[in-house]
Amino acid sequence: MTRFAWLWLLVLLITAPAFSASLPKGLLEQDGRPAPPLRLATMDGKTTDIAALRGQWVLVHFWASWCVPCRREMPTLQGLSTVKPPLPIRLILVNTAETDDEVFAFLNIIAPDLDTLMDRDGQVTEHWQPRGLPASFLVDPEGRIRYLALGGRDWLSSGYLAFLRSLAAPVEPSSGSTDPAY
Amino acid sequence: MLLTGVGAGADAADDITAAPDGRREYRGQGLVMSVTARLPEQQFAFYSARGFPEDAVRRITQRCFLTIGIRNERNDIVWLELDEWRFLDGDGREHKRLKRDEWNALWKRINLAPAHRATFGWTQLPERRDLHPGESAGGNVTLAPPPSPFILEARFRTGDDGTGPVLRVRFENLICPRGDT
Repeated sequence: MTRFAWLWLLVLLITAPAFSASLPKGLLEQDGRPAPPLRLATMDGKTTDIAALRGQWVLVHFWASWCVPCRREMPTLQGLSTVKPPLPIRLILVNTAETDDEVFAFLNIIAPDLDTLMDRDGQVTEHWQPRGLPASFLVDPEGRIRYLALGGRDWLSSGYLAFLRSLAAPVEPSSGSTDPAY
Repeated sequence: MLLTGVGAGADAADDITAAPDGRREYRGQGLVMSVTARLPEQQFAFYSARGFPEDAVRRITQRCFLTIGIRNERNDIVWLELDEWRFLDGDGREHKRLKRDEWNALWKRINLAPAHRATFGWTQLPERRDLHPGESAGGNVTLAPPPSPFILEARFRTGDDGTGPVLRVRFENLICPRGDT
């Protein structure tokens, strides 16, 4: 092989997506199917429509207060908002089929800085078909599901932070956004 | 490969440990599996605290709820398939698991609210799913309370296409307290 060929091979290796070969543990690559509709409101009535978040990566996290791994994972999701520089993702929490009282009692203690959308009858969760609760989907800027995080991840671990940073560059939030997270 | 765990209180070579809260845990073959037989009072407390109507809670407390936790610590896929599990009493009689469809039919009949149906569904162990390396699954498996101590024989296929080694785990001397009938 010529010196040029070796040089090109080296360039290709260096410029290949950092996580194409090995994703952080617990993150599964998906087939890029379109994300199901998701238009829900918070307890305060602020509505978020995932269709309005096109152009940026969105982390959609389904949870319930009775689920034990949710209790461990939620503080790490809250911690993402304090990471500097800001991560190139938007976080959307979706509570599955619980009441305001149940959700408030949980979030107020476990992750008081987070707000959540309320899937009051559980039908939106059903359409997204998570493997269980908790479950997190990473939706790309085109609105396609690219990754699924198995329940109970530590989003502040170095592997996950590096992966999240490797996603698209930060996008300015659209004006009038009602995203309840950050 | 056949590895068998036996009930708590057996010899020291046991693969299964028992906690004071009644939780039994098996570790072996790259699998961690726990079983806890719920008291009717626990079932009542959980579902009534979430606003389930009295009729639904009564029906729930009449059933045996085994809370199962499974973690795949292998490097290949483990198949969770509840149809491969058997519940046998001391006389070798099989006790049938209540399937998700049966619960759904009951909830439809008594017109249980969609939110409660969703919550109930998510608290049940999936009936069929692949468990990736490092993945956990948890939830309840339900059956009519066997009248005497019983055995849970769980069988797991492994590998992408399920043709890898079959894992078997056996929990003995399980007791499901009977609820209000």
